[in-house]
Amino acid sequence: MGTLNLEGVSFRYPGPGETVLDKVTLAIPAGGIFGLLGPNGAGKTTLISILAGQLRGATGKISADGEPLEALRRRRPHSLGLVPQEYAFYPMLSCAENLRFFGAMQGLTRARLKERVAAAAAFARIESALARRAGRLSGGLKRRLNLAIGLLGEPQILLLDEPTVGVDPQSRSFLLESIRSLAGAGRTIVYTSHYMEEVEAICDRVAIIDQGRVLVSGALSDVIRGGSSLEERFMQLTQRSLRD
Amino acid sequence: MRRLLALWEKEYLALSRDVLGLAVLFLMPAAFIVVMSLALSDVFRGGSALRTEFAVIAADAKLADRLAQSLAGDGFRAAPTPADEAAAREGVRRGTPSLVLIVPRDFERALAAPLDGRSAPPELRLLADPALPPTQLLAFRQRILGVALGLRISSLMRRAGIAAGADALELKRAATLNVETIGAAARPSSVQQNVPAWLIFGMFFVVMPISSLFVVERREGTLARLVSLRVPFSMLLLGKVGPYFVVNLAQAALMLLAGRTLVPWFGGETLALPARWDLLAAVTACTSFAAIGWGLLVAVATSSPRPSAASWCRGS
Repeated sequence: MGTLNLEGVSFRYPGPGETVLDKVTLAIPAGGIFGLLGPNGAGKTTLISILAGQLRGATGKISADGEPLEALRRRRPHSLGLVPQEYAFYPMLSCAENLRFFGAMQGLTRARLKERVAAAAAFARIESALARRAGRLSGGLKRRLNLAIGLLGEPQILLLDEPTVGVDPQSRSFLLESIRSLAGAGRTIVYTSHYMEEVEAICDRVAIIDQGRVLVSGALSDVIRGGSSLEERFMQLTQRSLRD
Repeated sequence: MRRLLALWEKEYLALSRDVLGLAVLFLMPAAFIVVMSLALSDVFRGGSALRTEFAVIAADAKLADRLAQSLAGDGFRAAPTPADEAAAREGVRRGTPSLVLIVPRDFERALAAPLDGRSAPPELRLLADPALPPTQLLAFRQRILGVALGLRISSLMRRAGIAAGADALELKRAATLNVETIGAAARPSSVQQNVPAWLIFGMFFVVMPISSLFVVERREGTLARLVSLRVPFSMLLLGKVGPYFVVNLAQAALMLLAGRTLVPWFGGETLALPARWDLLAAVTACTSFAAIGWGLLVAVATSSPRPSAASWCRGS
């Protein structure tokens, strides 16, 4: 999988609201982690939702390796994986049942499904919790289950929307290491977070967006050249006023 | 098809782990059917099958006995005579007996008065339980007037020198009345009324699990994740309709079984099943689709599981 390209992507929700994304242009290369940063309401989740196919009606072009993303998703539905910021699984089902269900929804057959469930559970280190109800897991285990579900289809493009919210330092460290290891396999990973130190630790390239516009985009070292840290650069670009 | 089966399995797993939800879907309507069928059995029973107790208070004990004998029958049964009017009032307040006829001291003299329009007819008083069905009260009232008329005619005949015992003028001896019902439809019994009524009510209980789970799926982002996996909307819809249609069919079977076995086991009547099973199946299917449709509407219109439960109540 090559570069994920966004050219002049704009979006506004139905009704008289403001434009949420305004001519967003980004080049997200494979084999690394692309950090998408922005204050609350900047349009990060909307952009992730558009890439994941949850929101329609965006204008502009989105392509992966030159092929329109929508065509790629039609041709290979599981080429794109999403780990949303919500715990997007069923709390009344066990971890194994959740993994089997979402695997089946991706069209995995029995032998392949079994294999992928085991592999995803092992990757997220949730094997010991497979029989437990998802709703009764700790915050860290829930996040790891959420990640495992996103990896079932072995996606080449992985969208991670604040995947470490509400977890303890141990779980966060584990999640960050796991995500870094995923990038090595030539995947295109888009990572959103409010934790600047996380982004500095794992991302190769970043983009800072605000009010639907890209303020800066490029290699992490280039972006923070103007400031002493990513957080300082972020505050310089997005100002200090509260957004919500 | 594999994906649809996975959606159905998920719904069943979610439902099977909701013990309270299962109780609401299956036990509650069955309990309603048994309790209400038994509680309302007297209301739906025919007049002749009802047993209403009455008593007669008169200064003359013989007259009281004679009146009680004349008034008894057709579902009205004479009870022991209360000691006085105060005891009678207390008895009626408790419902035993439901009716007490109070005969004035000069009743027989008033009956013998000439029919010249100047003398007032004898005054009788009837103490009645307000819970008594109005038709029962009306029937007893007509019965009293009939007996009084018989006594009056008997008295007048005696004065005219025509020998006629009071017994000969009793209502029950006046004529033999045979009632012939026309048509096949019988008055539905309590169980015939209650099983379909509570069955339909119970089928609408699926609105709660449908809407609650749907709201949770939407709120937790599960629905969005399924959309990102390119699960078509029609499949998501079928994933909801299929399992709850089967749940509704299971409810219908259980409720009919309750009417056939549980209600008679507790002493009620047995549910008579219709001859046209195809019509029963059609009505069940239509009711199920209405309930599931309502559940989906509630799920779409509400944003938290709590309002969805409240909307179910309004819908029912």
